[in-house]
Amino acid sequence: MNINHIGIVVKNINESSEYYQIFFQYSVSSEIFFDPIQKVIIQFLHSKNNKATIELIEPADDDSPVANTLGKGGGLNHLCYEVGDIEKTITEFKSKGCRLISGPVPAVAFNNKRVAFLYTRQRELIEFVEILNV
Amino acid sequence: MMENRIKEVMSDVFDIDAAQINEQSSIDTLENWESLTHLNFIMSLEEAFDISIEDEEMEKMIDFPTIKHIIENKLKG
Repeated sequence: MNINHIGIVVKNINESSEYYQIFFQYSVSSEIFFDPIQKVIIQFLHSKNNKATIELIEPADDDSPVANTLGKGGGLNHLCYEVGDIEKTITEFKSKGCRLISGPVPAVAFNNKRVAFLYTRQRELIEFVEILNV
Repeated sequence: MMENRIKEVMSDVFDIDAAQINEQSSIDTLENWESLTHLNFIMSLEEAFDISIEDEEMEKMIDFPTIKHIIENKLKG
């Protein structure tokens, strides 16, 4: 499976975006989005050679699902994988013992392509984004 | 003992002393008990007792008495 991006929970998206641009020569890939379904503010940046994309995630409010994660320091949060058929992939991963946390729901940042979050037996948080023709 | 094993799992997952776990222990009283640690907890219980916990059961297992009750019933078969 291809990794679409690495999710990183941050306290302040503008400060973190500047940090990654200065320290790691990342470039801004997207505007700053507010996702009302996930209750987060996000922005994508890509590495100089386009081999890596990171998603900076700031809780939109105290009810945000990532607010607790930020309370524990934030940082690396999830890997997002590209899948062709999200329902089929979810079913497959659930049969392997993963738990579905949310979705599939449309994501503002992906032009309303559907995303889902799961928790794996390896105790990882992963995201699937439905990219047709994967 | 089932109850002691549950306390061991809770101690490990929620990073607390097993001696502090009692009938009042719940998602409202343990500081580290939130959504992702709850998933970790449920998976750890499944592995510790070699059982499968349904989503509906997982949602109810947020206090010590209910956790004991559900696991006890599962172990009885």
